[in-house]
Amino acid sequence: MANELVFHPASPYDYFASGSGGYGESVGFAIVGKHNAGYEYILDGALRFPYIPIPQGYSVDSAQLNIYAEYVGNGSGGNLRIKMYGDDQDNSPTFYGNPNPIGGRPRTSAYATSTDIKPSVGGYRGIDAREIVNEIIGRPGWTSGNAMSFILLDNGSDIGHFIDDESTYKSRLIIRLAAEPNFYPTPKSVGAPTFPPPYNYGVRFVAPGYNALTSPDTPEITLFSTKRRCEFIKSENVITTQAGVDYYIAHGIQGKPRGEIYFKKTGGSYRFRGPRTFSAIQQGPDIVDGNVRVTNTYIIINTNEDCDVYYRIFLDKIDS
Amino acid sequence: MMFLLVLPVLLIFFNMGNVGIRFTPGYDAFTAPQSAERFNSKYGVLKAFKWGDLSYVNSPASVEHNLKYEPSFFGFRKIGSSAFSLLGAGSSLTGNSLDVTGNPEESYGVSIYTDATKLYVDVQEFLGFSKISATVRYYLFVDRAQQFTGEGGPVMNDRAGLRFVPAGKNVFTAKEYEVLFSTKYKIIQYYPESVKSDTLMLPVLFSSPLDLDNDEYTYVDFTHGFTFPPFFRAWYHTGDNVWKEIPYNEIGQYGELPNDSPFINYEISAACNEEKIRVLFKRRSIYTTGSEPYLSGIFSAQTITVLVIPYFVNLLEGAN
Repeated sequence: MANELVFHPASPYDYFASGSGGYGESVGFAIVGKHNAGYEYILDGALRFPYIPIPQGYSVDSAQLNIYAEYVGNGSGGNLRIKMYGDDQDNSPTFYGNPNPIGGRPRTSAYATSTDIKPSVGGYRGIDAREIVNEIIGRPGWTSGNAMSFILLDNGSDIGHFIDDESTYKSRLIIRLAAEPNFYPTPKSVGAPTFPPPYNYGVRFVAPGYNALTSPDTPEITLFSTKRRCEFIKSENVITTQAGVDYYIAHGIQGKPRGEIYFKKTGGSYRFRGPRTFSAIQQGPDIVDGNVRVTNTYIIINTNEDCDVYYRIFLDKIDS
Repeated sequence: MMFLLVLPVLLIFFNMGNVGIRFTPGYDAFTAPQSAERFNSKYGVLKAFKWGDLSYVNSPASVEHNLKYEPSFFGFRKIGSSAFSLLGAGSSLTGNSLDVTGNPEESYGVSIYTDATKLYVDVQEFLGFSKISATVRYYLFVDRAQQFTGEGGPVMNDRAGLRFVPAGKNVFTAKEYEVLFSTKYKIIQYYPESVKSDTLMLPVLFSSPLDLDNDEYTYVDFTHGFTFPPFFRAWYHTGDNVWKEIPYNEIGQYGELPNDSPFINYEISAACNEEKIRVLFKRRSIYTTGSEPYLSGIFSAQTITVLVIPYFVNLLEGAN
């Protein structure tokens, strides 16, 4: 089982790009590296990730920034070199109308570098972000749910080696809080009940052809016996439901009674018994789902189509 | 039909306002709580009049009941030679999960439903999987599943036996579906000692770009103490004390999807054999890198309480 948290930028204002010379600054895309031959801008960018639900002071086990390659440079034989800092603030603001993340914001003391060939379009460049993330989360003013940003500086890339994500929201910050191993919950078992000892009083009805005094007490032979309890019907009634609406029916039982529902779609031909949840099934014209929930006060009926619902409430409770 | 009537602790009361028969073994019949009753002629009980097996191979199967109204019913899907699962939700007991026989089994799209003349077993296409064959053990009850007051119900062929009807009705002429109790029918009974519950702790579960498809299965086995696979019902709640009947299946999607693949699956189902009732949980989360990025479905940690009630009815019993 995975135990990583994955975050993405949420708006174009979570992307920033700037470049040397006449390249300028812009929100809406993030780019880092060196532009193609003939342009050769040095490109820097930033990515922001809102709502990081990690408590202040927590030390994450691992973190990685994956920059998505919607576009890459046309260089070959070289490397894309990146130096990454964090925006050293309690709650990093968006890149629109706020200080420029490249030159106008404080940087974490922690940083990370990455040198490798540029990824293919559709791929990712991953950079270890653990130290940066932990430094930001360790700030006294950090609060769970705040945003954090990463400043991406070209670190001497070769010409034509850059990576560019233009608000695809596919760049991601992956954080693993703790190195938990995958595991499956342990199954459980409950032992057999202790049935009451046999006794020779009461009432017993058996199927035709059997001797009520001597025939064994099996389900095939015994139709009714006061050794066991019946489920007593308290009430029955009908309601008409609208699709998706909860209908609250006071049952008048102290506790949570057993019940059952049967429902037929308005204008339909067939009646089904609840619960029924086939949300991904190929639905025919008469097919309908329905369920009932039981509280100390109500049975709550819900159907996914307009229905005629027949319900029955028993005196017997679910949990006693 | 024969019956045994031995009366050391029986109450037949005819006081003012208290008319009928009440069995409360071990208790004073005048003062015993309702929970001590094994029978009370004031209340109706579910009355099974027809049961057997229906098999879907390539087309819907049906059995006539000709009651002229839509009756109450119940169904179990047969697994192998002696195991049965609850119907009412798509069940994907595959992979790491096991049915009670130890073999993976699926119950995709098996439906049971009724109209005024027949009971049907059908299989709909589910999640794009091929339709499966299915054998269903069904039970048809005299009790209605729709508002109906006309002529209908099983024909009473002879007048032997014991019969209770509501106050104001003539015991000789009341319609069969009005009868509270009759020795002509199988009464679904249970031992109160058989009602068992237990809890499961399910951890957080989600997927990530590093771990794309995660599922987990676990189960609780309840040894029922019978020597046959019993008719049973089961419920669960997730810590809110709102009981919901099993089975349940939820398939959900997140974000804007490029395709129809499911991304979360939460399923609770149950099956039985001659030894136990197994309540099975499955959760699945898929992280996809389709044309739009989005987070996987995240399951919070849960504590689930499950409860089963096996009844004294053998699902392998010969048809009636």
